[in-house]
Amino acid sequence: MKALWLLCAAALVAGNQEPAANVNSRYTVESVEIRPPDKFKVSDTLAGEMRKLIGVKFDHEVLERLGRRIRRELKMRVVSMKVTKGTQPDHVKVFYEPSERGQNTDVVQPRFIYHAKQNFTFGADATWRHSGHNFSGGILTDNDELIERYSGVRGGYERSGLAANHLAIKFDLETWRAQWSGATRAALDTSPEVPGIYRTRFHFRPAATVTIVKPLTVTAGISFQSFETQFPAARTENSTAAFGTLRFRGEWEPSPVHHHKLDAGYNLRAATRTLDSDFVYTRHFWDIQYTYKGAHDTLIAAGMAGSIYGRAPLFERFVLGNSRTLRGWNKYDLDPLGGDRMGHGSLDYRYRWFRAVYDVGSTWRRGQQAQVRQSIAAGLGEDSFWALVAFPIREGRADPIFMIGLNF
Amino acid sequence: MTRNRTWWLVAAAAAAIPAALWADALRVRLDADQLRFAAPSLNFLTGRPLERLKNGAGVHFDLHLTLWADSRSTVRHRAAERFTLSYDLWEEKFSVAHWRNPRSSASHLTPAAAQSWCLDRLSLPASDLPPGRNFWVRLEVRAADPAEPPMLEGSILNLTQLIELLSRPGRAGQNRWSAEAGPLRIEDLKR
Repeated sequence: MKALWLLCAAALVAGNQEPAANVNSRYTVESVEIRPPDKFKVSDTLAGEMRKLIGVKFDHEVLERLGRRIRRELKMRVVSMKVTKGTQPDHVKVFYEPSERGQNTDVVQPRFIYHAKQNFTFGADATWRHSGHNFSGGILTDNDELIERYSGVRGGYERSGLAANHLAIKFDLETWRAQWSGATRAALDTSPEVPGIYRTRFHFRPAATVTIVKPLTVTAGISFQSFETQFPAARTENSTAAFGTLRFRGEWEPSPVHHHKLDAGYNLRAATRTLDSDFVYTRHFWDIQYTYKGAHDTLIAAGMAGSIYGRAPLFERFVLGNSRTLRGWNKYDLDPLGGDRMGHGSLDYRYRWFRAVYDVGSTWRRGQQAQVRQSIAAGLGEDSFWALVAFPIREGRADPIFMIGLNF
Repeated sequence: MTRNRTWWLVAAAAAAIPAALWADALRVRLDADQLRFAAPSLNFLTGRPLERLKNGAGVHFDLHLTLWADSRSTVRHRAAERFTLSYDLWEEKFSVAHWRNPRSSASHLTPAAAQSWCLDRLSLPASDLPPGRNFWVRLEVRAADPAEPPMLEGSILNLTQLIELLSRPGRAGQNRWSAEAGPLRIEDLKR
């Protein structure tokens, strides 16, 4: 049968004619829109490309190419193009309809980190999305983010697209079992001002996110945590904090091969007796990350800082020296209890599969002198998979730390 | 009553069999020394290609005729043509263009007229068909996949492209239609 179509092709070649024009090419494009317009936001560059096609003659190939660009930018699996008569004679309207079909529905995302000093962190999260309702669930054992290794399950529900796409509400539920390193236990003996370790931790966090003016959002909610302490006596304590986050996420694409992204935020957590909390503290956290993506290279510059006032539980304390910060250092060597002050910056350069990272930062405690540390790392990888060898920058012998990550 | 209904259903099903066979029938007539064809019940302006047409796209259709003789053991003749159809969004009528030289086209056509126009451009020679011998004819229609590289569109195929074309698997759900006629005898054909 294929041979028959080959003959068909050969017959056509004999004619060697230009393809006949589409009869609609005599019509003029009246409008180019994405439906629904309030649900999808494209970059200024792409919006400009869409505007350029208004007033020119209809060219189906050009419009299909534009549809493929919209699909890539919005990360949708399907973008359908619809063409209808315009309101003016001999004009047509073009609509693109992105569809969530297949977009992150029923996705199981495995996560994995191996850190030579801190061992394994791994888990998997499943998400299911349908018409603005997002359900998620997962299991995790994490020895990377906090001072403790926490293991357990988590789940959540999010309703997005409310109030003309300006409001989203979210509920998170987590239950963890904590394990502590010998270094942390030993450090606690000499630091009576730091609250003690706990065996289990339960976390419920309802929150609402309001989009003030895109891309500026405000999130507010309450974090209810109860945990079973081990020392000096086994009992349940509560840490209930109201929190708010102001976040800016902007993206610019001055040309198809240059992409800039800026993500900056400020988070405040305040636990008071009014909320029936056994701990009273305020925690401030600032973070900023600028990303440039070119044709083959990527530069990520990131900074963060934080401070805690009052007596906060261990899971609130700041940690450096893991797979994302001060990569050449081990967090248990820097401060096995974490700090209540923190500052950190990093430069991450990637060229194709090659990656080089420079980190600088410090955690310290109120009243103490900050000791700034630096590290460099090199390796291979991109966003979803990476392998790095990191070295602390210091005098004397420096042990390299090997780490590998998947989807972290 | 139930038994009567069963018999009615059986009779209706039996009546549907020849109707279904007739649905894909190809009509053949003799025009001087050429065989001409009609397939009024074959509708290839349907499904995904029709959806693309109604959204302003131009869709290529490949029509291919095969004539067998000698108990369908020998392919005697073949003919293949490509047509580009488009649907006028304002006139709500179809237009057809034929790639052959000299190029020809037609507009303001109904779906049936557009399909007939394509089939009217296909013929097979009848001069070498001996009287008293059976022959069969099959028409195949294929809507070109929009993702298909435009290698067929007016460019000379090189060897690599030929191999690629031969080895390309048929896509699942690809739009293909067919109609057949036979066994026929040249002396029985309408002129």
